[in-house]
Amino acid sequence: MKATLLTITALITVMIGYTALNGENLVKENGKVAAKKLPFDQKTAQLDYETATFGIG
Amino acid sequence: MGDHTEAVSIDYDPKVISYKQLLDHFWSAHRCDLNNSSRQYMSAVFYQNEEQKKLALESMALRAKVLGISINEIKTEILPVKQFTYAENYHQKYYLSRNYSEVRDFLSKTYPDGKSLADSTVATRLNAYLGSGMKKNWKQFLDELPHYGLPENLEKKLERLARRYAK
Repeated sequence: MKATLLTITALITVMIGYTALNGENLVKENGKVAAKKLPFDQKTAQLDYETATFGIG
Repeated sequence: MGDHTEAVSIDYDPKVISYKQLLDHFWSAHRCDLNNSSRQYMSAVFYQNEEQKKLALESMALRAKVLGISINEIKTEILPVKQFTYAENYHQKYYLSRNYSEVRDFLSKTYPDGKSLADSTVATRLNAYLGSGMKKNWKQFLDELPHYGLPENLEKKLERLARRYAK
């Protein structure tokens, strides 16, 4: 439960997609966040975030 | 699908949560001892750099120890990722699409292209709070809600909903 709550508040964005083992270099345009119309998104888009990627079966 | 695997990509604030904590959550949320059914649907940690690789391998060894199994019995893979392709829009923010169409419609109008919607922290938070069980920190949600920038009527509806669940 603690982990779930912690995760929600820590998440900036979550995207569903496909990973490939071969191909061009990664991942989401040098860390830029595309969503900036809502005030809360404008604020979080300025954070220095990191990215974690998981295959979820 | 070729060599593609369905995946979730999480942008997170390392000042609030660490990669190690996300790994802990990942390992506890799936059966790592079961064979992957296919490359398209497999359990995996996709690392982006050597530090993530090191932490992922350490967390796998710890999980094996916790489960009392050999590390060779773990079927979850630790792999590098080179490319991430956004899935179709209907895959994004699933709980909002399924149960909160008014919220999803507003967000879709605000962010008509799928990438922006997937990238939106507001959409991510609403999807997380409103989906998959209601045991959430609703006080925290109520504190955040006025800062999202939602239309007043939608904000009021969500406030009433959260106050009901908070009881």
